[in-house]
Amino acid sequence: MTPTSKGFKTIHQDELTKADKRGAVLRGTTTVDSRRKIACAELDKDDPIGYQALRTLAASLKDNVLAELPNFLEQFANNAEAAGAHVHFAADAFDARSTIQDIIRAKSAKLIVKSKSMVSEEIDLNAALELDGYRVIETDLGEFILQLEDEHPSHIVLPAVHKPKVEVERMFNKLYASPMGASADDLAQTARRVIRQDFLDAEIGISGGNFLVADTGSIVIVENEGNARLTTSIPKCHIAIVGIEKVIPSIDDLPVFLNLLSRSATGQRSTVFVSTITGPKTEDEPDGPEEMHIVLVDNRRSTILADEKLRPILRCIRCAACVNTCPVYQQIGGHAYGWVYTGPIGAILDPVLLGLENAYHLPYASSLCGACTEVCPVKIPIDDILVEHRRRAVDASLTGPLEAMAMSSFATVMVNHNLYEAATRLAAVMPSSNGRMTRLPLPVITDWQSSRDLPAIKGPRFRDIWKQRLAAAGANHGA
Amino acid sequence: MQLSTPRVHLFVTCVADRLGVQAAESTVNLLRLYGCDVQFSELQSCCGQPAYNAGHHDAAKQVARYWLATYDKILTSPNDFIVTPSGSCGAMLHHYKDLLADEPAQLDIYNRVVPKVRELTQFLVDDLLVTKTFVDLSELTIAYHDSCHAMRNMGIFDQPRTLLRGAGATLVDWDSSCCGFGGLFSVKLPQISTAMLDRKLDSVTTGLTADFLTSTDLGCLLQLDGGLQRRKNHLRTVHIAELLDPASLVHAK
Repeated sequence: MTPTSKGFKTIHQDELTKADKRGAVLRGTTTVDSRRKIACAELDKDDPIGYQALRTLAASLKDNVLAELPNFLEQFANNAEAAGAHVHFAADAFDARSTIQDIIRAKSAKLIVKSKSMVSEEIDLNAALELDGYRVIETDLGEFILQLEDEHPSHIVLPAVHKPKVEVERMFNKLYASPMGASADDLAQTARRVIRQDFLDAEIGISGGNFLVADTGSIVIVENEGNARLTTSIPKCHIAIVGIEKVIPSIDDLPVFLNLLSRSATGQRSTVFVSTITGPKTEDEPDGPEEMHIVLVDNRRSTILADEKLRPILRCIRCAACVNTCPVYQQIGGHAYGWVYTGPIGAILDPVLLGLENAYHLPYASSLCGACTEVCPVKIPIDDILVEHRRRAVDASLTGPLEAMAMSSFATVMVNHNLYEAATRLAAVMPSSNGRMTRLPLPVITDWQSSRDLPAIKGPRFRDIWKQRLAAAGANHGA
Repeated sequence: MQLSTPRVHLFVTCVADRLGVQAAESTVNLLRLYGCDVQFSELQSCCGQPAYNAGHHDAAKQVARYWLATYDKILTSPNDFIVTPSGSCGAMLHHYKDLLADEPAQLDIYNRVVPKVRELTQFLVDDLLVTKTFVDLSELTIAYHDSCHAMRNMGIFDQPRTLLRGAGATLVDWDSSCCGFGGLFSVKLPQISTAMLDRKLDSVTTGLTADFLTSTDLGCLLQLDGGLQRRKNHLRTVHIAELLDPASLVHAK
C-alpha cells in the first residue's frame, strides 16, 4: 500500500467522523485488552516465574539475539538448509518481492494462497503478484474480508477490527447468500467453504512466521483459524516471509514467547494452533510441501539494529497489546496511521521504515500516557522512543520555525527569574468573565478552547500568596 | 520513619503557580498540618516538560539545568525533601537523567537532588506514613482520576486512595483511560484529545454520580474541568490537596 502517513493531520480528522468504524474499533480493542489483562495477571498466580519476570526474561533473550543478530541468522539459515529449506536474504522490499516473484515464475502456478503476514503488506507483495497475473487469496478470515473490498488491514493482529459485523453480514449476503444476522461462527464457516477449494488448487502457499528458531532452523506460526496450517502444508511449494528480527536462540526458549504472545495478543493461554515447521516434507512424510523457501527480510531493520536508542523496537513480537490498550488508537483506528504498522508500535516503527520525514506526525499521536509501555511483553520503552522520534523530527527541522521559536522563548523565560515574574504577571491580562477565560482567536488558545473552557487567569499567583501570608505563617509554625 | 521535622522544599510547578493557586496553598497547609517545615524558593519556574515532550531537547536541557541548580542550592540535610503537587512534573524530573546523560556535572547534581523528589500523596503516605487525616469526607462520593504519569512513571496508585478513604470518602470506579490532556498533545491534536476526553466525560454524564472529581495532577484536572464546564456539567473538579486540607474553600458550607 502507498503510505499516507504524511497526511496524518488531515486523515485522522476524517477517521474521527466515521462513527460506525470508531464504534467497532473501540469495542474490539477494549474487549481484547481486558482479556489480555486477565490472561497476563493469571501468570502471576499460575506461573512459577510470574508475568513481570517473564517479560524481563523475554526482553533479555531478544536483546541477546540482537547483540549478535548476524550469527544467529547464520545459525538459523544453516539449520533450515540442513533440513531442506532454501533460505534467501532480502535487503529491501524490492529485493524481497523479486526473490518471491523469481521463485514463483519458475513454476507453472496460477493460484496462490496466503496466510497472514504483515511483512508481505510491508513489501506490497500482493500487488506485485497480481501484476504478474496470479490470483492471490488471503485465507485469514479478517484479511479475506478486507480483500473482498480491496481494503487494507487497520491492525496487525485483528486486521478487520474496524469493520462492524453487520457490514460483513451484508457483504457475505450479497456474495455468498449468507443470511443477514449470521453469527460470527456462521460467517467463518461461509468463508471456510469458499476458501477450501482454493487451498486444494493452489500451487503456492505464502505465510509469515512468528519466530525463527536458530538452533533447529524451524519457523513457528501461531494462529487460531488453521488457515496457516493449510497454507503451509497443502500447496507443493511453501514460501515463508519473515523479518530478520524474529529470531529466538533456541526451541527451549519458545515457551516463554508463546506464553507471552498468545496472552498479550488475544488474552488466550495458548492459541488454537502452533505450527513448528522444519524444512519441507521428508520422503517418509505423507503431507507437506515438496519445496520450502524462507525469505528473510531486512528492509531497514539493520538501520534500527545499528541505532542504540531505537534498537529495542526489534524486540517486538507483533502481539499488538500496545495497539489494543492505546487510548489514541481506540479513538482514531489504524487507518489514520496511513500504513501497515499502526498504533504505538507503528508510531515508533513507521518513522524508520518509511523515513522520518514521511511519518513524523505519528510519534506525536500520543498523550505519552505510557499504557503501551506498561503492556509490552518484551518491555520496549515505547513512550521514550516516541519522544526520541520527536527529538529527531525537531533536529531535522520538520516541526517548523514557529514551534522552535516558541520553545526557545519558553526556555528563556523559564530560566530567567525576572522574565518568569513578568510573564506570569502579564498572563493576568487575558480577558475573562464568570471565572472563565474569554474565547480568543489566538494560536494554541483557540485549539484548546475548541472543546474546553479555560479558567480565568486572575488575582495573585501562588508566589504572591506565599509572600503575603504563607511565608510568615511558616515562620511561626516552624518556631 | 522521620525522627526530626522534615524540611520540605515545595516545587509548586508553573501550572499551579498561575492556574492552581488554591491547590498550591492547600499543599502548603497540609504539609504543615503534618508537621513539615515548608520552604518555597521564588527562583523556581518549570520542569521543562512541554519542551521535552515536544522533542525540543535543547530548550528542555536549559530548563533542566536551571531546575537542578535551583534545588541543589537549597537542599542541605538528608531530612530535606522536594515535594510537588503533580505526578507529571515529578515524573519529568526523572527524565533529566536521560536528557543530560552526556553532562557528568549535571548528572552529579541529578543524583543528589532528584532522589529527594516526591509527589504530595506519595510523600504523605510513603515517607511520613500518615494514618490520620484532618478532614471528614464521609459524606462525599469522589471520582478519583489516575494521572497516567503519576501512576505509571511515579508508581502512585494506592497513596491517594489511602488518604481519601482514610478521610472516610466513598470512591467510585470510573473509566480508567487517559483524559487526553498530554500537555502540548491537547493543542497539537485537539480532536483526538477531545475524543479521549469525551470518552471519560460520557461516563460522568451518564450515570456516574460523585460530589467531586479529583486527581493528583492539575494538567488532567484542567482538561477534565474544561470539558465539564463546556458541557455545562456542574461536577466539581478539585486537586486532591484541596480535599484533604480542612482550611480549603471546598469544605466551606
